[in-house]
Amino acid sequence: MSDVSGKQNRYSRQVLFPAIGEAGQEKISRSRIVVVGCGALGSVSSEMLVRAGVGYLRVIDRDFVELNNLQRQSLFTESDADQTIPKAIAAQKALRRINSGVSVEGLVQDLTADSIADVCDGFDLLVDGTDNFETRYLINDFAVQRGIPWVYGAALGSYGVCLGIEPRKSPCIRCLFPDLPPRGSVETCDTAGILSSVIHVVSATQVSQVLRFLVEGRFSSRMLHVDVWKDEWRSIAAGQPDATCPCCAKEQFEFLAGEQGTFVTQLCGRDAVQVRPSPSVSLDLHEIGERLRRSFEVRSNPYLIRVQIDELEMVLFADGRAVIKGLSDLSAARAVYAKYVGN
Amino acid sequence: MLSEVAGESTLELELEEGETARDLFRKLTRRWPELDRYQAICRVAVNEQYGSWERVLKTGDEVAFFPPVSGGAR
Repeated sequence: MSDVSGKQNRYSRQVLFPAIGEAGQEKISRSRIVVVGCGALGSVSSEMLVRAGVGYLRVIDRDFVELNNLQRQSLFTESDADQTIPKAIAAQKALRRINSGVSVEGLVQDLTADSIADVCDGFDLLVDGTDNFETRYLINDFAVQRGIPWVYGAALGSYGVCLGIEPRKSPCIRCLFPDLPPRGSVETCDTAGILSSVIHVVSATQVSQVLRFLVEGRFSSRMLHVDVWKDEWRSIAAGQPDATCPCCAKEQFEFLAGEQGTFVTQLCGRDAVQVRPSPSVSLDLHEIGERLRRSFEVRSNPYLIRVQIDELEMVLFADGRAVIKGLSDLSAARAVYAKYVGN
Repeated sequence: MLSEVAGESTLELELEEGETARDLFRKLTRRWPELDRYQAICRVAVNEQYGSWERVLKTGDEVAFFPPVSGGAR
């Protein structure tokens, strides 16, 4: 450990905070945390957690950096966007530079029913940096099944929410919202945009609750609802778990149930579709790149290849996922994948 | 989200004796029909505590309706 990460000085201001102290800092330094999704919320939360001196931080993200991320995704730079660096890799690099005393690991993959145990087992707490309810319900199923606390956070426009969930002691996400909201019923960042400032409020609340849980073993039991533009702040008492909850009461973990096949999903905030084979496969990106280079313009970095197919752009990752930009039709995306990558 | 539909985020309403949070939302949808689609996905809170749609309201209760916030593709 280098001098700059020497704990004495480094965390002195946090240790002086009475609720943390030396004993609390020791608990923080032994903690193992997963941040799921490293967009705006994940960037800001990871940075605060690493600066606070958690022991081990794993960051999982399926996407790569683009120019329109830089307005709010604070770990990334223009150079990351120019080079199409996966967010998990760019985050890992930035976070290690901030605090060399923390073990930081970036995983370039999708969190799925198949992969969640490998990614999250053995960790103390999960932090939500996702952009969709399917993944949150998957995290919730896993967290309730294994008894792992997690912190829900989301933001849209100038509005944000945060809730710490301690399975069976506080309401889980399905106690609050039993069913996946129907597609199209909830506004998205495609339609409402997003302010960077509300991200920081939500992440600050998430990280405060993470530290509080690590030190005191409990969350605040309240849910934040904030609109930073109108300057309206509400804190709602979350109450008790719902005795009729399909997840934490009835233990129906339907989002953890296995799935097979090829999955296509529309990605947040852009005209793009992700195609993901399940279970994941291992692709020889070099070989595929050489083959496609005969017909198309191909660019590559150590983590992905980027192919221009007429008006479409396909970014292909080693785990078999492709992000196809320039279309929104799911079956068209599946067809492009089958044609150029395979079935 | 709901306040964008209605154009205001707080308002005072007169209710009959025995009316519930659900009755209140129905009154709002009569004024702003576009709110109707949100009822199935909203949580209701009374006096800063999550509660039931069937809760009978009293004079001075503050009722808030919260749709789920995702931030992403849904």
